[in-house]
This record gives sequence, C-alpha cells and structure tokens, in this order.
Amino acid sequence: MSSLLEPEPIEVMEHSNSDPDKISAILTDEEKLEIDEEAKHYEGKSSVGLEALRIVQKHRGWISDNSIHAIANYLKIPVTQLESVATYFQLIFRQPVGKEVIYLCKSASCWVMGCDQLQKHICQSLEIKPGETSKDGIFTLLEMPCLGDCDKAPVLMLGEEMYRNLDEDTIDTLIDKKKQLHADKSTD
Amino acid sequence: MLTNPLTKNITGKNIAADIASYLANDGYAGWRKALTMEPNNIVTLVKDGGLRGRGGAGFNTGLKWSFVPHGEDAPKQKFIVCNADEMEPGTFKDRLLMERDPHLLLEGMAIAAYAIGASIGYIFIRGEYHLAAERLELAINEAKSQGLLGNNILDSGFSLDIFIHRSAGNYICGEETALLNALEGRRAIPRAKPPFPQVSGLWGKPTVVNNVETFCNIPHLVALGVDWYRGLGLEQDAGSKIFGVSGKVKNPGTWELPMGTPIREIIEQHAGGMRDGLRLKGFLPGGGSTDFLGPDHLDLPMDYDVIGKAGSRMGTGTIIVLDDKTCPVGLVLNLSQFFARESCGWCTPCRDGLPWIVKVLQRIEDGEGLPEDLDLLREQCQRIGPGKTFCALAPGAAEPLQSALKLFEQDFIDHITNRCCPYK
Amino acid sequence: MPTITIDGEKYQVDGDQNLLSSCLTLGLNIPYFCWHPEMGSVGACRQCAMIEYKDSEDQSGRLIMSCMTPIRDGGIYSVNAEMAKEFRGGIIEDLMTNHPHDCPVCEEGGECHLQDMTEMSGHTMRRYRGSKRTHRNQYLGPFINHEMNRCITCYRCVRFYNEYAGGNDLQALGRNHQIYFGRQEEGRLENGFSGNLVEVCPTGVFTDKTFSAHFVRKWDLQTAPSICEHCAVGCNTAPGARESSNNLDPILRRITNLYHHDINGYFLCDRGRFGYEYVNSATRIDKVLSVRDEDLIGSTADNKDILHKEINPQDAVLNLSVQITAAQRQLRRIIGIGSPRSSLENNFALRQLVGADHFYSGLNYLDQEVLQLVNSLQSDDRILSPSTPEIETSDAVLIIGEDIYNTAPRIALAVRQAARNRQKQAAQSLKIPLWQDASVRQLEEEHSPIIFIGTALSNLDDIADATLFESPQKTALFTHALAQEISGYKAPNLKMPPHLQEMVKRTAAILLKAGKPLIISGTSGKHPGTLQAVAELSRALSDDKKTPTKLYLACSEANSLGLTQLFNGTEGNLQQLVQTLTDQRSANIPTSLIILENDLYRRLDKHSVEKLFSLVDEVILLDTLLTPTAKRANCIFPASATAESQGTFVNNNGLAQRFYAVYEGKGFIQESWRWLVDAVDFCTETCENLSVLKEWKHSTDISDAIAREFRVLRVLDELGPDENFRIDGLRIARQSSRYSGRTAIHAQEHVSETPPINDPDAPMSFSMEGIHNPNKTQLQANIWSPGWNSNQSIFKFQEQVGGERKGGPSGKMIERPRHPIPDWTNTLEKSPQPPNSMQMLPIYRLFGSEELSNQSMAISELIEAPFVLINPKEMTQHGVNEGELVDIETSSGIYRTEIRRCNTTPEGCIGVPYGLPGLETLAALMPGYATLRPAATHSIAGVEN
Ligand SMILES: Cc1cc2nc3c(=O)[nH]c(=O)nc-3n(C[C@H](O)[C@H](O)[C@H](O)COP(=O)(O)O)c2cc1C
Ligand code: SF4
Ligand code: FES
Repeated sequence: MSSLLEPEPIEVMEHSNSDPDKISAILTDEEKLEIDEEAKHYEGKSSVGLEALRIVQKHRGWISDNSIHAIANYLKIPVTQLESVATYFQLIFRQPVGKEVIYLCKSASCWVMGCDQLQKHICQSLEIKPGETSKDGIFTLLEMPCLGDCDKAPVLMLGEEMYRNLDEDTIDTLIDKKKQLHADKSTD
Repeated sequence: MLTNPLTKNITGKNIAADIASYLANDGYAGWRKALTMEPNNIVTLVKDGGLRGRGGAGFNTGLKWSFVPHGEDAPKQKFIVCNADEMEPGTFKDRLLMERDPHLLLEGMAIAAYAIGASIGYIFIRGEYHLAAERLELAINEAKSQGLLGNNILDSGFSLDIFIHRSAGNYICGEETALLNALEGRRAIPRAKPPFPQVSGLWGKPTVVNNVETFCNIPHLVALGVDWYRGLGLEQDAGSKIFGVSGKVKNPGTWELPMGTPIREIIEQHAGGMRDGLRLKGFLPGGGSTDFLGPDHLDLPMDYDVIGKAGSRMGTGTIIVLDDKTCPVGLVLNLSQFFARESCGWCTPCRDGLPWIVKVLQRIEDGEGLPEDLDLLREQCQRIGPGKTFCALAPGAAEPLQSALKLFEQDFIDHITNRCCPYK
Repeated sequence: MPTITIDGEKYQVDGDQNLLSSCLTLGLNIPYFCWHPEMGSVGACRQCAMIEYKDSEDQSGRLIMSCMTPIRDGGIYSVNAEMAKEFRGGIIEDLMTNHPHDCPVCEEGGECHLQDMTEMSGHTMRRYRGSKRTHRNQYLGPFINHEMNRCITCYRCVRFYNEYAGGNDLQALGRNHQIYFGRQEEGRLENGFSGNLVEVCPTGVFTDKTFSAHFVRKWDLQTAPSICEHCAVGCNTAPGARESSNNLDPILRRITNLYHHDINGYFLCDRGRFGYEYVNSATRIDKVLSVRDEDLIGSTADNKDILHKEINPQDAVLNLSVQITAAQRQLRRIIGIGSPRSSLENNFALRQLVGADHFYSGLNYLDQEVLQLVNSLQSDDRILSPSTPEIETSDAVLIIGEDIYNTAPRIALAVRQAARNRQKQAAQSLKIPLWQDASVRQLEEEHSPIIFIGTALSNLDDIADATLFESPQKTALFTHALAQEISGYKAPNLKMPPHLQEMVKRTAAILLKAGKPLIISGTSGKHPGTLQAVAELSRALSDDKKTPTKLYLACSEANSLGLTQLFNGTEGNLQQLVQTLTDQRSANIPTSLIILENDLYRRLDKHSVEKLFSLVDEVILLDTLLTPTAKRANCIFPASATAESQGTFVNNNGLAQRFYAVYEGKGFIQESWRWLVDAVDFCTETCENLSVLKEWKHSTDISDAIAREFRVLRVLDELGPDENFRIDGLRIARQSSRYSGRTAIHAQEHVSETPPINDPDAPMSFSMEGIHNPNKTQLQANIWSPGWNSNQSIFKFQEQVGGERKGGPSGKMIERPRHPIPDWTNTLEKSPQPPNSMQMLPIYRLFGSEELSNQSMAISELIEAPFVLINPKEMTQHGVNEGELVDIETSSGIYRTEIRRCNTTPEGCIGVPYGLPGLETLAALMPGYATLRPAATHSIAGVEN
C-alpha cells in the first residue's frame, strides 16, 4: 500500500495552447456563410458564438487562438467572452486533435460492460493516454459521458459514426482500417 | 386500440419514418385537430391527460404550460424548446425517438407551440447526436414543404419555425435553465428560479422546455383524447413510456410499455433476465442520478410516485442493472467521476465536493480507504443533497452514492478491510 | 416593516432586503462569499446557509441560502441551528480543498475575507487528503497581481468586472473544479475600475501590485480618512502608510476605498487607487531648494531653467520673511497665485498673506469662466446636483460634452448602473427582487436611454444608444435646440441639418417621458457656450417637470469649486495678473510671486508664462512635485501631499469634505500654509493681516477663519471636530491596536520607542493609542471589526447594509446664495476660425490627463506617447497617414506628435490629449487653433520650440 501522505501528482490546468500553424485571424467565406446562416435563427450575434465555434472547428479540426480571434472579430464580441464559452464546452477543442477522434463512452452502462478494459487496450495499441494524440497524428482518444446507446454497450463514436457492442477485436479492426485509410491518403 | 403511440412508426430497420409514411399512419392528425382548438383548451387537455415530463422530474406537462402568461398583456414573443440533450448515464430513449420518428417530435412541438403561443421553437440536441440532428433537419424541411410548419400553417394564421441547435457537450446543458443559457450562446450555468422559464426564459421571454419523449406523447393525446391516454397506464400514471434496460442482461434494449409496468416484467421478460451465471444485485431505475434499488423492489410498478416512495426516482425510466460480479464501489466511482466532471462549476458543494468524493472513492477502490471515509462520504452526500446546491445535478450525484452506501455497505467495508477490491 | 424571528429573537427588518443582508444589518455574523452588498445575490458559494421553519410547530426546518431568501413577514429562521452550522463548516471545508493555505506569504493575509469566514465557520481540521489543482497565473498589467491557486470560485471578480463595470477582458474560463478567472491571453486589464478587484475578491487572487512593492500587513498601516485628489468627484479614500524599514520616514503604501454612501460607495477608479505613488516618485520635492548662487560662467543652453541646491529651511523662511517685511514697508510687492488642486486652507492662507487684491486664482480666464458658470448653474433652484445613488436610479441620461469616464470616472460607473433601470423595472413587474442579481440581469437586454453629444466618449459607448460627435459649438447649438424643443418654442431660430433636428426631437421626447432624467456636463470642453446651453436646457426641463432638473457638472480638479468660491466672476485670473503687472511695470518696486501648488505652464501659454516670470523678481514656489514651473522658481518649499496634510476640498456637488493627514511627510515637508505662517513668524513688523496668520496653529484655525470670512463656506467650521475633540478622553488612533514591530524597525539604532508625533490639526494620534471603533467616529478610517478583518466589515458601520454610514454622511454642502441663472438664450457665439487652421479640442485620458497621477510609477507605464486625433477625411486633406508624425503649430510653439485616425473627431478639429506628458503645455491653449502639417523629418515626438 502506498503511503497516504505521498502526494498525488499535481494536475496543472491549462486552457489554451498557442497555435503552431498561425492560421490568419480571419474566417473563410464558407465559414462566414455558414455562421451567417445560423445567425438568422438567433436574437443577438453573441448567441451564435457556440455555433460559430462548432462550424469553424468542423473546418479546421480544432479552435486555435487565431480562430478564436477570427470568430470574435467577425461576430464583434469580446474575445475573452468567446473564450469563456469555448473553454466551457467539452466538444470545442482548444488544443489540436488527431484526424480521427475516438470518443469512447465511459459512463455507467459501458463501464459495467467493460469499457475500462477497452480503453486500456486502445491506449496500449496507440501508445497514448486518454486525451492524447497518437504519434502519427491520426488518433486522439477522448473519454466521453454516456453516448446514449447503452443497450449496445460498450460503444464508441469515431468521427460521427457510432460503433457498438465492441470488443478488443472489433476495435483492432477499426483502428487498422482507419490507419490504412490515412496511409492511402498520404500516398495519394 | 392503439397501445404503442410512441413507437408505432418505428421498425427494426435503422431508418426514419419519412413524411409520407408518417402521414399515412395518421401523422399530424393531432396537429390538425389542435389547430381547430382554443390554445387554452389544449393546455387543459394535456393537464387532464396526466402526462408527466419524461425528462426526469415528472412534472405535469399541462400544468407547466399553464404558467405561461397569455392574453393581451403577455409578451408577444414566446419560445418552445425541446430538450434533446440526453446525457444521463444509461439513458438512450430520446435518441431512438429522434432517429426513427422525427415527425412525431415535430408534431408534438408544434402543438405545444400553438398551445402556449410560441412562434419559434428550438431543438437543443447534444452535439454527439449527428444522425438524429440530420434526420430532424430533413423532417423539418419535409414538414415545411407540406405546409405543416413555417408561415401560416394550414391556413390557420399560425406560424412556427423550428430550428436545430447542436450543442457541444456537457451534461449540465440538460438542466433546463442551463440549456437556455447555452442557447443564448453563454456558458451553460443554471439560472436562479424564480423566475421560471415559463415566465422569463430564453432572452427573457416566456419559454417552455420539454423533453423529447414528453413532446412525442402530445400528438396522440390530443388526437385520441384524455380517456384513451389515461387508459394506457396500468396504475396511477397515465400513458405509455419507453423503458430501457442496460447492463448484463440477456437482451438489453428499449420497449414502449404502459406506465406502471412492473420492473420485474421489464427486466425479466423484455430484457430476458440476467445473463447466465449472474444474479441481479441491484439496479438504478431511471438513469445514473437515481438511487439504487435492490432485488426486493423488483415487483414495484414503474410509476413516479411508487418508485419515489421506495426511495428512488423513476427518472428517465431506463434501468441500469448491476450484477453480483460487478463491483458496486467501482460503479459508484464511475458515476461520481461523471458528475464531478460534468459539474458546471457554479456552486461550491458540487464543484469542490464531488471531486473530493471521487478521490475518496478512488482510494477505497484502490484499497487505500480508511474506515472513517464512509462517514465522510455520508456527510458529503448530505452536503450535496436537495436544496443545498444551486441545481439538481449534485443531488442527482448523491443518489446512487447514498443508496449504495446503504445497500452495498458490506462491499465498501470489504474494500477497506481487505485493502483491495474484492471483485478484481 | 415585517417582523421575523431569528433563533428565538424577534426583529423588525426591511422587507426589500434578502435575509442575509437583513441579518447582517441586525449585526448577526453570517459567513458569505458570492453575495456583495452592491452587486446582490447569485447563490453560488452556498456559504450563507440558514434554517427556515415553516411555522412554530416545525422542529427540523429546511436549509436555505439566506442571500437567496426574500424576507417573509412572520418568518422563523435560525443561524445557529446545528444543521446550518455543520453545513457552513462543510462548505468552507470544500472550498479549502483546493486552497493552498499560503496565508503567510499571501498579501491578503490579515484582511482576508476567506480567513475570516473560515474562522467564523469553525472549520479547523483538515480532512482532505488529496492533491490540489494548480493554475498558471497571468500577467495582468502594472496594477494587479494574479494568484489563481487561491481562488475559491465565488465569481465576484467577473461579476464586478464584466457586469458591474462593463469590462470585457476578464472571464470565467473552463468548467467544473478547473474554473479559471483570467484573460484570453496575458495582458493588462483594460477596464479603468480593475483595482476594485483587489477589494471585491474575498481572497488573495487579485492583489494590489503597487502595494506589493512596499507591502505591509493591514494592521501595520496607519490610516486616516482622505479625499481623492485626482479629480473633482470627491471619492473618500483610506490611504495607508508606514515607516520604511531603512529610514524613519513613513511612506504612503496604498489607497483603499472608504465607503461614502453618496459618492463612491464601495468602488474607486484606478486613477484614484493607483495615482497615490506620485507622493513617493522621483519628482517629489522633499527638500527646501534655492537657486544656485554661483555665477553661470558659460552655457549654450538658451533656456532659462534655474539650477537648484538644497538649503537650510530656516534660511529660506528667513528670506521669505524679509520679503514679507519689505512688503509691509511698501518696499516690495508680493503677489500670490492659488491653486484648484490645493486645499481651501492653503489658498486662504496665501490670500491672507498677500491680501485679497494681490491674490490670483491660478486659473486662466477661460477655466475660471467655466467654473463660475458651473457655480452659478448650481446656485439656481431649478437645478439639483445629484448624488451617486441618484445618478444610478435615473432612467434617462443625456451627457453633453463631457467624457466622464476620463474626467469623473466614478460617475461613469454610476451611469453604467443607470443604464439598467429598464431591466430593473421589468424585474419589478415580474416580482423579482432587485437583489436577485442574475435573474434581473437575464431579463431584457435593452438599456435605459443614454445619449451623448460632444467630442469624445469613452467606455460608455456600449450602453449609449445615441452618440453624436460634434464640435463644442455644434454641441451648444444642439443643446439650445433641445431646450427650445422642450419648452415648446414656437419658432425655432436655429438652423440645423435634418438628421440633427430628428435627434433633437427624439432626445426631447426621451427626456420628457423619463420620470427621473439626468443631464451630465462639465468644464472639460472649456466651452462656456455649452454650459450656457446646458443651463437653458435644464431650466426648460425643470419648468416642464415642475421639479429641479438633476444636472451633474464635472469640474477638473479636486478643489476647483472650492477655489471658485474665493473669487468673484473671472476676477483674479492669470491673464489679468499679467496685464496688471505689465501696466504697473513702471512702478519700479520689486515684486515677489508666491505660487501655491500650481504649474503655470498648464494654465497659460508659454509666452505669457515667460512674460509673467520676466515681470517679477522673485519666484517662490510651494509644491509637491518638480514641475516646469519649479524650474523657474528662485526658492522652492516642499509642500505636503493630500495624504500628508489636513484640509478641505469642495467637490463637483458643492460638498465640502475634510481630509486628514495619514502620516507626516518626510524630511522638511509640511503644509504650504505652515511655510507661510513660519515666514510670518520671523517677520519683525506686524500688521493686521499678518497677525492673523501668526495666530494660526491648527489647520482648523484656518478653516474657521474661512468660515467667518466667506458666508458660502460657513460650513467649514462644522466639518469635523477640532483637534481638541476627545472620546472618553482619548484621541482617535491612526494605527491599529495590533500595529507590530514598532521598536524592531529601528533596532539598529535604538530599541526604545520614539514618542509619537503630536498632531496639531486633528484629534487623532500617530500611534495605536486611542479610539479604534469606526462606530464611535467617522475619523476612524481603519475599517475593522472583530472577526471581520477585511474591508467587508464596513457593514458593521452602516445604518443598514449598503446604507448611510452610522453618524450620518460626512462632508457638508457649501451654502451658495440661491439665484436664478441669467438668460443666455441668445449668446450663441460665432467665433471665426482662422484660415487653414484646426480647432484643438481637448480629449481626456484616465491615465495621462491628470497632473499628479501621471507621476505614479504604475500609471506612467500606461500613459500613451504624444498623439493627436483626426478624422480620416482631414487626414487625406493634410496628406498624412495613421501613425506618421505631424507638426502642430501653435502660439506656444511647434509640437511634434503621432497622428491617429479617429472617425468621431469633428471636422475641422483635432483631438489633443489634455495634459498628456509631452503635450502638457498645450492644455492652456485649448480649445484654440493650430495648423497641422506633416513632420519634415522623422524625429522623436515631443515639444520643439
Ligand atoms: C443535471 C440535469 C440534467 C438534465 N438533463 C436532461 C436531459 O438531458 N434531457 C431532458 O429532457 N431533461 C433533462 N433534465 C431535466 C430538465 O431540467 C427538465 O426538467 C426537463 O427538460 C423538462 O422536461 P419535461 O418536463 O418534459 O420532463 C436534466 C436535469 C438536470 C438537473
Ligand atoms: S449543482 Fe451547482 S455546480 Fe453543480 S451543476 Fe448545479 S449549479 Fe453547477
Ligand atoms: S452568499 Fe449566499 S450563496 Fe454565496
């Protein structure tokens, strides 16, 4: 038994990562168009902040400091206000993620059905911890609250696709398939 | 007589009922009828029907609507909002309804909007429900093209636009006032009540928030009437309900059954009973934020008040089964981790108390617990109980823990005395 | 009044309050964090739990948050019930799980609300065994330290900064137990009220960085009530001082808010809080200086600056007394120049010394004219100068030509609250109590109307629903038209473009409809026409409403209105002095000029100042800072700063307020009047004027003399108790009863305690002996009560939470004879603009426009380099681009500055930052004319002659 007095590792909280790619702080026309479309459904411009973050993330994979500034400029809302919303919602990524995001359900039913074991397996095969991105930059593993498919537990979502009644084999196949896909893409 | 109004269009195939097949099966009949009625009469009808909110709290839906100000002095702009944030652990009913029969939800929302005088509706759907959102979007366009939504619906002079708002995670968004803040583009922090949303909700305007399944009950209730609807239930509560079972049962799934269906029937008949070699040790009757019940409670009917008296809650009506080979401490730890992570961070007991609970439970699970930890946990449960926190998230987190401490006390003690998890 | 029962006792309470503030008003101790007397309740921290019983039968009761509970008549509550106590202890225990317990190194320690509440809640044993979360801190600028690990997540900081003060660069980030209060990225907090975070935060997350530089614990600070000298609002402050460790002299270490119900309430602006450092700055005069007598053998410098050396004060005083004696014998003439930033007492002493005929205001003609206008406006019965709470409750605000955020900052904060009145009305109609802050704020977003017309508007633009940027002339025209519209003038005789007419109509309608309209204007535009138009408008509105119009007029300096009372009309202005001296040049009698705390280069154009100096033989200056004027003085006496002296200021409302010495200034520093009295004491000859001066031993002697001499200022003898006042035979202690290390500080020299200095002016001691209880006297500025070590303890000294201080409001209104304002309806001027010239309009900066605070180290970091504003159209016309250097040619010489685009600068005008270092001497020229051309070569910005 480890000593009770032994300190646990310190958790350092960080809310943003500076952007290595320096995408310019403006939105693309496509992004603007989509945001404008959403904005029609809301009363004030600031109301569309979260939608805008989601739209930009859809195009860019994550929300960099530059993207935050670009959206805030476009919506004419204070950048800190937008940051406050962006850091609040867990599906807005303020750090880069891989090309394929694995959303592994960690809630009660999936836990009963052994999601911890699956997670261990994924971590081992991708050599990452939850929240990290694999070295090849393809996979990011995220722990999710209940994904609402509990009768088919354990489940995960990869991109926008649900995968149900999982075991280690199905996960291996899935990861291999995606790996292959990206290998093909990069040789194209 | 129709007994499965919620699922009558749902087949084994993973496709949504399109507008043609929906209309062919008496679709939008309730909506057509509603448009001929006085809005107030619809409110009364829903109230008399005894429909209770399916989002978890079980509040009478008609009664909720009746708090919306109406008449000359009432604000012109009102909103109807569908709570499709389904994120309660072990809950998987709204996804089914939206993916398979989106028009039923739209019809229910339309009737509700008409009843309270709202001209804009939002479906607040959790970000992960991509398929449901797409199918709803499609359905909205279909309904619009048929004149069932949009401007001057069916020449009635009534107009209604329904928009989809895709959220970006966070369980607290399901709390109806936090949901409104999220819809307004703010951090999803719950609001102080009063004022209730019915009086001052979205952008300060009267707003009704209902659960997906609640809305899905409305069309047939209006079309077929109070007596039919009340007759659906077996006991006190009216109507039918989607019940679900997950965990190590033979046949996990969802079924539309009458309110008041005995739990044993749901678990043993519909879900096929426990997998071979396992015994039922306990269950959460209505999702992760309800108290554990034990095998003694299997014969209770699934009725709000009955389950309440037994010391738990009907919640969302989706049962999580705990078997005798799965560690209850581990399950409670898992749930507590969920609630701690999903805390909005507004009030102290939840924000700082839950992470502490997690740490204590983790210690116990790791075999490093101390005997006094159990008292600490009980005390913590008190501190996050109803009325002590700003919203119902933390009290919800207390429920599985406090009941597990009673029902599975020996398991906790074993962890502490054996200095390890006996299930591993 | 409802009656409630708390723990068996019956009480009558105010039904509009929540249970928490009612209990605090009753003097009960209930811990709380997120609730704030000014910001209301949000129910986040859950610390203020009490028990509510259904009825007398109910034994167990229900746990409630007292801050979220409206008073129920007949309600039965308990603070002490075991369940409530246990819960409150538990909440602290939860909060402390992440708190680093670093009190010994935390600057909040000793005045920490978290410490107090932890004590109060009885949480003494730590059961938490886990790790604590660790945050990275941010650089937030020169004012504020950030230590997020101490955060208990009460949300007060963002509620104050964003919602109350309108800032937008501080937010709650993240969620659950990881919530972080910070900026999107590091950088200075931009809002001008950021300093209040120091007091609003109940723990040590936000602390005063300027205080850090010379930190001591609260209990080691000696304090006295003071008045902020950095504008004319008259905010009350509690400066703190303590001797520095390496010498015996005390230094001023910080400013905190001192609650005044009618003025500053709980909040100060950053200029007021951080401007104090000028007192310790490198430009501070702390020695007696005299012109060097060795002959300058050769210098190529063609300026006339005088080189100084330190001399023995006695010699200097003697020298001055010789001059005074000579004057008594008619062998010399002594002229005195007063100052709007010095106390009435100092000004009056100088006047007494030189005689009223030889006493000048230290203001130029225009500045004195606009001040006299303010004075006469406020003397009209149809005009009422509103207090801060009255400003906050007004339902329509029209601001005319005054950028109040920069000239009367605290008032801008009040206007921001006024913008919420529509929302508050909506809340009341929904029966939401106003203290339910989050619920009220979530209502309608529409603001109560705030309309602005003038040159520049800062910080309030987000709540203003109409802004019109025009030159002062047009502003006056608009205001006249508005007055005519309101009084239903049949045939408007003013020509205006249609869009202005439209706005006049709309504004008139808003003012007429409003139940509590408010007009704000002031002297900063230096435009008499505007004030005359404002007078007409106020009169018209008052005639319509049959009640006095609320009109807030901002003046520029702490004692502007006080000084005004000593003069008739524009008599005694500086131009008049120059003229008189020129006319009497032939008199052939040497002249001495005594300048009281005034930099003449800010008052008159350079040539006039030079001329003035050339017309006199001796220049004697009494001042705190080495200003350009000091460089021309033959003799300089170090004068006490506000915090080092006692005196009286009259604020924008006409409220005379007394400030008291917090500590004795170092070295030979003393009050200006004392230097004068000292000099008179040396005089051999006596006359009536001088013998009066000789009698003055106490500051209050002068106050009383002023009260006798000026009817208007009669209240000065009632302002505070004189130095003989005692409570139970005791003085009021400036030091706390726990003042520590008194002997240790000088241990290398001696370990005996030096006797405290005697205060000749106030009934206060410079020691810990005496009265400590602020309830016994308002002179006690150390706001402290047992168990309440932080500033939050102020409620113990209020009639009720958020109400008047016990003992009534401090300060007294001066009594100006009432007379209606003259009819200025037809005084619209047509001033010809010289060809090819631009009008220089003064624009103001919170940091940079005010003379004293500019010398504060922290503030000086934020002062911009010289620039002028111009609109884009003129920019092309003059062939200049944003950021380029331009030469501004004026009667005082050529100024080279950067040019900045500003869409709102009126055509034909340039916006010139008033008082900005490098451009100070332009202040005297505005709103005059200048020509502008691209700078020939690119050299550094600054003045060029
Ligand atoms: C933490 C929390 C999460 C909730 N999540 C949901 C949810 O995901 N879906 C839902 O319909 N109701 C949820 N609720 C209940 C809602 O607050 C609200 O009661 C419900 O939407 C009302 O609809 P109903 O009357 O139709 O049940 C949640 C409540 C709490 C306190
Ligand atoms: S209980 Fe408090 S912290 Fe938890 S989710 Fe509700 S409001 Fe937020
Ligand atoms: S002071 Fe009442 S909840 Fe914070």
